[in-house]
Amino acid sequence: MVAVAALEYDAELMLRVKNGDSASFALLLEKYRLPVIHFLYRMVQNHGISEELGQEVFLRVYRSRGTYEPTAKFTTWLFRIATHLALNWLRDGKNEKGQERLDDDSGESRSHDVADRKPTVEHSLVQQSRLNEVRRAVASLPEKQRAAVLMHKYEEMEYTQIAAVLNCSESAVKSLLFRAYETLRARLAHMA
Amino acid sequence: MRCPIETQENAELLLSYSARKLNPESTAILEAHMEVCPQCREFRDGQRTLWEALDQWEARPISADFNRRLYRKIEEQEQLGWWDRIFGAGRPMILRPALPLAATACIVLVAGLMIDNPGRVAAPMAENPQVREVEQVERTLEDMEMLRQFNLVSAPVTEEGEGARSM
Amino acid sequence: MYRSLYLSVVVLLGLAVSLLGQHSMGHAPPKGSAPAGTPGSGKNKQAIIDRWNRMSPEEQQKFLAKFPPDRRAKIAEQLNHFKNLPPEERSRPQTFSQLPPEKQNQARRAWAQFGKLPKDRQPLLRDEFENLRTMPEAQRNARINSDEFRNKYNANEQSILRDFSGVLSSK
Repeated sequence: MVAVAALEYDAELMLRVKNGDSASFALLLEKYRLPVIHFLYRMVQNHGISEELGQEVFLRVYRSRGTYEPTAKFTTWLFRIATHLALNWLRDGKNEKGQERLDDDSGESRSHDVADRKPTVEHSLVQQSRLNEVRRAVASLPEKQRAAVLMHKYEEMEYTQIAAVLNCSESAVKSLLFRAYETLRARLAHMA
Repeated sequence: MRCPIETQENAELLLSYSARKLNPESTAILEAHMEVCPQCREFRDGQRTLWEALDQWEARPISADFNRRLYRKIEEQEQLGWWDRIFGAGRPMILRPALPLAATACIVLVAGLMIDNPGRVAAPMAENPQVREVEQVERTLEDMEMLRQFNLVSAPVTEEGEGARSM
Repeated sequence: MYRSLYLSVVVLLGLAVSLLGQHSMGHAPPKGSAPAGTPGSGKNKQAIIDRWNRMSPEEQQKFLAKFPPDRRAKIAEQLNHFKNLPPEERSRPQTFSQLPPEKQNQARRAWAQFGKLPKDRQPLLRDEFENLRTMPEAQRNARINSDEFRNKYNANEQSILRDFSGVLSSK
């Protein structure tokens, strides 16, 4: 009941944005900027790029307010925009640059982890190494499989919604996920 | 139960189970199957290891000025939108000679209308005072009804019994 | 060819600007009415109520004749009601008019939206506002941003309550 109310609430808010209510846009931004940017970060694996793309997502949401129609869930539309931007960025050949930055980002993450958890140096290095393995494993997935996994695992989206975002059938999503998880299990089995 | 591993269509059962999203009835059936199927057990264990590994991948907090930068971009877009489209360097070639012609035509039209109808612009000065009074009364009554239902101007009395203070 | 077109645009622009300038010099703002939301218009509101109170029945009928027929009974009812209010309630319009114009208009916008709500929802919002009004500002903001608040009221209702609460805000 609450989930249904939340769905209507988001679409209602967006309709109010369409009618010129900027406060409703602020509400949607606060609610979804974290999940969108985190999704983008895990797709492109670069903090700076993920925030730039995140800005572009909400800019497009705002620009499209005049023609918005609640034909699908608001989150479906939102993640469709985000996925489209991420896939475009990856396909534009910047993937290599993003991969090069993976190590730079890992350095930043290490300091973040140390600041928060105060582990021993050795624990921190092991933790960082594991994280890098996870990130490389996800980065090795084909783009659509990667997007499907991230939406399924981190956004806890249902198959139908992932299918709507990726513009494919539900059975195609299940295949994508099955193959993706198979690959990831094989690459990360030693972490058990 | 048919082994979910062998029928890929049913493999989602194992995925849902690993994510703890399977309903209790299907969970019981699957767990009973796993007792006799090493492949499914291996899938389950591998998937759980994977979930735990993925759980460790936390994203960094967003920059504090994310919203500010976004709103600035929106503002820039709103301000430059139509101008940039019509008058910017990137405007379509076909607009370049047409624009001066269109501007000339508009100016001539407006100038002509203003010369012919000097009184139209001054019409608000001749507003009926009775109409103004009616509007004022209506507005007053609306405000008073609003303030009767929603007290927007005075603080409530405190528990200590101090008098209300007005805003 | 295009150069002559551009020159003609410049000349005509100058002509239009000079014509506009002549018209604006003869343009005075209407006198006698205080724009909505400006200080001093509260006194006008109070004056209307006081004037009504001093009118004889015949004068009241003459006054009501200025209004559309379907509005006269309601206006009389409202003016008589406000006549009998205690002084602190009767002074609210004057106090309200001392708020910044943007806050007054914010309240009026919320009021207009409130009027469009289903009748069964209006008491809920009134009660919620009365609840919000008794809270310190920080607590009020926390309440407005809480999940319970968001689940209880739809987006339109939240916006109304937020706008009314914003009038109470010290900012």
